[in-house]
Amino acid sequence: MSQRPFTAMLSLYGARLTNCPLRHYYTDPQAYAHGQTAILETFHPDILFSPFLCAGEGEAFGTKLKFFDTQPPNLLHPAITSPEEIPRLSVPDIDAHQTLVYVRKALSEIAAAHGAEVAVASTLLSPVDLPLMIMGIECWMQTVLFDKDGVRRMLGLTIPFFNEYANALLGDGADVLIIPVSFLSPAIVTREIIERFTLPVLRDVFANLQGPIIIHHAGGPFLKFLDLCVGLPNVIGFVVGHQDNLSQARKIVGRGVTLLGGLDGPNLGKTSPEEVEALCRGLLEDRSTDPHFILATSGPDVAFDTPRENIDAIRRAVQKFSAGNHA
Amino acid sequence: MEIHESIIAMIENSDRAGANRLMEEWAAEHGYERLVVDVLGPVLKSVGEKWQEEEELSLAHAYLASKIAEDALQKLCEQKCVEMPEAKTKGPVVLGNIEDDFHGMGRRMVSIFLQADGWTVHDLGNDVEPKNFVDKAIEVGAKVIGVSAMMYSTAEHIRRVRLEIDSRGLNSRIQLAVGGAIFVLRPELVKEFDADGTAQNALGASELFTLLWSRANRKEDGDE
Repeated sequence: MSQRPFTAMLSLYGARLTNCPLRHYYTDPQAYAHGQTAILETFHPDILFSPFLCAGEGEAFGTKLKFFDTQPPNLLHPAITSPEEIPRLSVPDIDAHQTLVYVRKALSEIAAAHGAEVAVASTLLSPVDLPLMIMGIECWMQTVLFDKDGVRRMLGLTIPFFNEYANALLGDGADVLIIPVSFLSPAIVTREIIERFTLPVLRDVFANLQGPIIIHHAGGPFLKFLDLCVGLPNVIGFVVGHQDNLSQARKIVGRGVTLLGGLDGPNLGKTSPEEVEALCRGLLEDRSTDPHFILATSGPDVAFDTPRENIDAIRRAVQKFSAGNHA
Repeated sequence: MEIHESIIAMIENSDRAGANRLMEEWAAEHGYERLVVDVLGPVLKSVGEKWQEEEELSLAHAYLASKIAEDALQKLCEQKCVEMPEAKTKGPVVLGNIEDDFHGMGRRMVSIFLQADGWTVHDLGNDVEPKNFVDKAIEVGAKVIGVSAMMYSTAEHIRRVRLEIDSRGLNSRIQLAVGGAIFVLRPELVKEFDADGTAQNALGASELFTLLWSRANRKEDGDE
């Protein structure tokens, strides 16, 4: 029987495997691609990732980033702090801004080197989430709740950017786009906000894309409003939260839609490799009759200090399960 | 429908203007000071309980609640034109985002909810050096310091707030509360950083601060 597929968000972890300082790793496309080669050779996942660097899209609009020693760069100062400043912004050039070029070149290198053997995914923010990286969560939440005109002006920038950047990533070699959408998360927004604001934008922009999309849960439980996402154009799957019940998720999205998840990525290193393997085995057994389930980590990157053995335990579990399962 | 339930319904429906209208009508009859104590306080308590126990509410709801509370406090301030005398408050507390942390939304919400529940809040803002928390607490007589952090890399600086408190011999006088996304994701960090407590969400802050304030009093009296 062919092996069940699996993956993990090991964008950051490539730096650990190659002992690459993060400031270099997140600015030099060759360094990043080299890290992903090391990921493939060490753990053999079925999906590799271009840089998981959502903050970099904010940087393209003028946000200042902070670099860390063991985690990806994050927002330091937003580009603007009020909707009144939106006219100062402009849509960045995806062929010229250094961070966007870095991501695209890293993606191209990975696709060229490994695209024939594994799937290559690229992450980017949706137009409704990108303002979080441009003006900060409080300012964007205030705008969404109380300033219709501010929303219109901001989406007037983030929608054309998303359309161009997303299709460029697909052209650069991404087999699928993974899009975290916190404005679908029950921890962040209400059903009313999703129906009124998030979904109309996603329906519109997803229809313009020239490739498939997987919606990512963006960090918390996802099931409460997952039903609203079914049927969005070009969406072939969902990454759900590690706390989400996979059977319930399957009931909601129906057959034929790819479901990824099950493992708490950022906390993978908190237990023993044996416990990770046992957890994986349990998930695979639970999903044994679900051919469209991919064992994966949920949430952001697997933490930098995660022991290699814990990540390898995922591969071991998949291999053993696939060898022993004759269904 | 009783006013508390009506305002909660408006929060659930993202209707800030409607909630403000209701509160203005009520305050026109009973006054803003009573509005904050008799209406806003219980509403926020209910919203916090719903958020924590029933997982019914979202960050958007909590943010809306904070803006409604802020609107009411602003009106109260305009009417009174003076800050509440110290004797009438629950006590002074110090808040801030730890050094290198600029994610202040949660902290600002906590500040509003604490003020709405009668605390005098000294908000130091973002990127606060550990010693500055303690300096301010000493200056204003605060028994609780609340430190916010979003990520582990910035949260680690909170260890130095604990060191400052302890090295100055203040651990019987000042309690350390911590909060932020990282503590929700990894609650074991509260113990790891030797903090005295955390709340599940911003609306739980006042109850936490009340608990910690009492604990500080007991420690000072030698009862703990």
